[in-house]
Amino acid sequence: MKEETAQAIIEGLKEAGVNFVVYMPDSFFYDVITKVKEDHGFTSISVPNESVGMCLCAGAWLGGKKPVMIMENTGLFVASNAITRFHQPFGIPVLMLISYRGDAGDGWWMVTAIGHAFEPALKSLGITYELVDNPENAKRAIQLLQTSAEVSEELQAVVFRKEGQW
Amino acid sequence: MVTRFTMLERLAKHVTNELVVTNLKGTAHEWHYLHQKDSNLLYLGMGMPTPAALGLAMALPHRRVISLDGDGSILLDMAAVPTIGQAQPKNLTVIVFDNQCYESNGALPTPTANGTDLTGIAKACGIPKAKTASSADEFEDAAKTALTTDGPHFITAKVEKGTKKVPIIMTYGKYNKYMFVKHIEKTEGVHILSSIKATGTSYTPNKEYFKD
Repeated sequence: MKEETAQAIIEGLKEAGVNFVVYMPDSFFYDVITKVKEDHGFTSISVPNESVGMCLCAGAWLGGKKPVMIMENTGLFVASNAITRFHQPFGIPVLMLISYRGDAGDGWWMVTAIGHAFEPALKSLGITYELVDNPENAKRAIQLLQTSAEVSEELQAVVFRKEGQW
Repeated sequence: MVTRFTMLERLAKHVTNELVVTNLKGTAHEWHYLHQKDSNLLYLGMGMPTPAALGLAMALPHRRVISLDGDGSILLDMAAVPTIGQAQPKNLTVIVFDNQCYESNGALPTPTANGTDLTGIAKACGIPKAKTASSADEFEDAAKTALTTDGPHFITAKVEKGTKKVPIIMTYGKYNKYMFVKHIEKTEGVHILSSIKATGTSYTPNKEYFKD
């Protein structure tokens, strides 16, 4: 990822008021995560799985933070128990930044099935999402969806396409 | 062995303004009966109370946070435990009521019935202040220590099967969430619900429309 791309994502998070970052280490977001860890404006923590991560974000929101969960799309399926049993019935808003494995052009055979299942899963879980493919619209989507999350008290996801200008 | 209700009674004697997150079913009903406060977030699904409590503890490091969890619940997602070991929140106490079974759906055994040692796991995950309490006195001592010293604390409370017959909670998640968040807003002087202004979004309500 280019320096300016990582910087745009960080700026988007800051301008949206996000101050609590939970991440499942992911190669696409490596540079963003590195910047987050170095920035004292964020409380950050890595998690061993996305279900724990989403619950951590929920607790942080209840405590007054503005959380974001950074993860690969595979983790949506890991987190689906927490999403359907906690975030949705309680109405807990969390912004998610998700890298899109199995997207058009992804050359790894193992993620093809994830690619098929991912967007239908987002829809069936009631998660509003925006597909982004360059730093400028990623930054804008982060700001817009954070506002939507707060107002709707629902989950919102910015989905980073595989073949974007990153 | 003692009942979970007896241990919760002992705990309730020492809980004042702590934030308490509970497991679902019996633990939630019993705690709600003993300590009905807006500082309770009740009825979280299996695998969820402890990581949610960790998030709260990290968000509010000056407040004490208690997770009332169960063996079946924490075993569903043990990943929460090393995450606590990594974060080392001084203000978090995890209490796992270990009845060695999935009581609410028929009492089939959990792995703790065959020797899985939750306290040992917690210690191995970087929580040295982890202990097992098998009597009410032992539990009360451990709880008092946890609520007056730096953590993270992890208490495995060995309890017998059984739920006290107390009134069932007549609420649901969103109502509980609003009461809890309003409590946080009031006690912390912060604005959590729909804080659109903080994001810089401009929205001016039509004052004429709202004046009546």
